[in-house]
Amino acid sequence: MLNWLLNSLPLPYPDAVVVVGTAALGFVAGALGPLLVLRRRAMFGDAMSHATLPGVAIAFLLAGAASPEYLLLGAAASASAAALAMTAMVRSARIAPDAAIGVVLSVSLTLGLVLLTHIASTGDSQQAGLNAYLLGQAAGMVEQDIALTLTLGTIALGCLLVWFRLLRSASFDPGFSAVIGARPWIVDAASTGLLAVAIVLGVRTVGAILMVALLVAPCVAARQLTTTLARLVPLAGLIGAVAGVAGGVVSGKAELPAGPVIVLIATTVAVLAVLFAPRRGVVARRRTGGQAARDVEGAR
Amino acid sequence: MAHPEQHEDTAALSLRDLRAGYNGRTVLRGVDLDVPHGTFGAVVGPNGSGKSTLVKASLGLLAATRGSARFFGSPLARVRSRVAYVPQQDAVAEDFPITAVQVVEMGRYPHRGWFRRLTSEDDIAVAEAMEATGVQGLADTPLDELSGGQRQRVFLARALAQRADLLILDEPFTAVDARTESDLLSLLERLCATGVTVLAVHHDLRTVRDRFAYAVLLAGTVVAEGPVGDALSADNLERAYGIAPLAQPAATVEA
Repeated sequence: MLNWLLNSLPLPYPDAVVVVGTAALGFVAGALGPLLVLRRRAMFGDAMSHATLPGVAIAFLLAGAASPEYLLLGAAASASAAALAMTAMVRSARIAPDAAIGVVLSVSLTLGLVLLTHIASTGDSQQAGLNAYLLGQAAGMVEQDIALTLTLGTIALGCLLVWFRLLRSASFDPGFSAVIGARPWIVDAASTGLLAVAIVLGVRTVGAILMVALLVAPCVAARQLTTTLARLVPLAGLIGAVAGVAGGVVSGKAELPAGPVIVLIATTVAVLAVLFAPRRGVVARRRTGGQAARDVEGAR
Repeated sequence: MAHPEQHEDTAALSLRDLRAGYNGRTVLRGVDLDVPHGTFGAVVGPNGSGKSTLVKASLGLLAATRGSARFFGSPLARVRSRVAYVPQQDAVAEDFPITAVQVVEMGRYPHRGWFRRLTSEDDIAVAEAMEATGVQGLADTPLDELSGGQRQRVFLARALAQRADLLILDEPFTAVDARTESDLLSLLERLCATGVTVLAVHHDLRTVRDRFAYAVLLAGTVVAEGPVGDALSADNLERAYGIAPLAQPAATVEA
């Protein structure tokens, strides 16, 4: 079925792989992004994303080869460890959340860079393609990557659908939700787990440094254009998919790293939506705000 | 709505030796309290006296370091659908993509759980609650387009839709216009007349004296509790606030 889809696109096979792969990844990331943005945890997600780097490097050193499954397992393990570390620092050591995030983010990036530099000095990194994990690379995506993204992505989106009521309630009004029985740790674990899936799926294509932007920007754009979460989630997915495809194709043609190009496109959409959205845009608000002020003047 | 026959002798909320605080700092200690059924009650006290802490520790939103809270004689986990909570406005995510009716529908989740569809019975409860608080015309309006007063009417409608036996409200009238405050107080009063217990954290002593029947006066622990006139006597207020904040008789409020 995947094969049929790839062959039916009017594109050379490698391009078709990139288009379908980045579309799937963009949709999954965009649709799961609200779990970060609406719970005000964007920087938490950023730290998790940076924390995939040391995991990738350690997995490479342990496995001795750049088999993508090992690297992604490493990424998932270290991102989860970072999430646990931040949670423990805030809960048990009473460190302020922003400080915990700052420490974990910078330590992760440092450790990742040190390990990647070490691997590069042994001469393996070029062949391993490890540099892709820093800034992302869409070229070189293969069919198995798409299959993995589709499988894990479908599971993650299925969980989001099944837990929609719980996750929406707990994100909107955590106090009320806890009183009616939503255990905060279950909500945290579920949303962090789903984010980890999105981050791990995207880290090779978009890069650890920028992955959070593909989670955040589509949600910011979609929030401007929708009034309910049930509409925001698919729209954010769609915006993510468009940014993924456009970025993947452009970066391939222009020989630029994929991450920055995808993120620039997603961010452009977000900025345009923030400025020009019909009801919530800055321009529209300024206009109606001015109108309201005039109404008040008139009433006096 | 209320089931007075099941618990004539147990209080709607009983706290025993409750102690709670934040980051190792104890805010509230040795709280013993029985809120009787059907009371229209207020929790009052100076800033930092532990009003919100009392509410949060009772409801398990803040781990009590000692003591226990029981609702209708049971732990909260056994009677969740009977306890409706209206949190402080700033504890709710600002700018969340949700409509008024979707907020009110949350009041039915304790009855339906996290996975089952809402039924026509739920739809009726939601519609009646929105009508009672006067927001039936705003059902599909996004929450971020409502005024402070309209928002609070929506959150009270959520508590009504739950058809709970105890309503706990944390500072429900901040950022609310005087008309809405008066309307909602009347609505809560009528609710109490049907056997529902109301307990609201409130900072305005004058409103409490004029409109509420029962008060808990806090200053790190319970200074006094009982009928408003007794609990908020000049002596008690001086003990809680250090000065007498209501030396003159309270002005009457025009409804």
